Amino acid sequence: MKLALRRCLGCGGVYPPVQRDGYSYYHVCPPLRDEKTGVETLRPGHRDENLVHDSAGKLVGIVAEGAGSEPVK
Amino acid sequence: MPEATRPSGRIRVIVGTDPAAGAEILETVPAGVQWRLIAIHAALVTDATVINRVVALVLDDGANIFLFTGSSYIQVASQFIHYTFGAFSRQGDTLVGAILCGYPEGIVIGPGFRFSTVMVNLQAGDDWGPPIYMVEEWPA
Repeated sequence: MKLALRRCLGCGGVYPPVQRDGYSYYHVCPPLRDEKTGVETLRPGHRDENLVHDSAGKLVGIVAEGAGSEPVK
Repeated sequence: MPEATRPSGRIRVIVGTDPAAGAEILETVPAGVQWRLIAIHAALVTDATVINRVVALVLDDGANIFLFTGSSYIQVASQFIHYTFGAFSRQGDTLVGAILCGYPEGIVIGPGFRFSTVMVNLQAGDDWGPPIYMVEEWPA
């Protein structure tokens, strides 16, 4: 089975939002790391697809939409 | 929960994000689960820039690094090498372009924890393939 893929428009990474076992995958952009200091900063358009729930447990969205994503054809 | 009393988790093989060229691998444990890392595999193809690269694997809790392990192999220009990280007692390279790198056995990481590569002399054209990793997963 070929996995459907999406491309993150923040970092350019390509990932399968649904795995072969049917479970979801939550993409997070890698940060930019200063090679000399090791300090990390979020890249422009940083995307974090981890889910956010309110205090009642209702799904309200993802952590950071960032620059978005698009399907890979 | 102590390992001796923890029920067996679900064994999963996860295909992670294939980074753009010049970017490192970074995977984050999602909310609601914890993972025991069994093995992590990724392949790296280097561009034509003549410089020595060395690959490391870093685990952190989202901010604080608690494990930093790496390869003793020097990857040069225009090479394709498989890297596999796991609880190996040996580290070394093989004759088929495969490098084994060890970390301690039984590492369990929770939501927001991350593993990532850190390369010495990463070049803009160096390109990691997607990490494929095997974990044992439990609800967090």
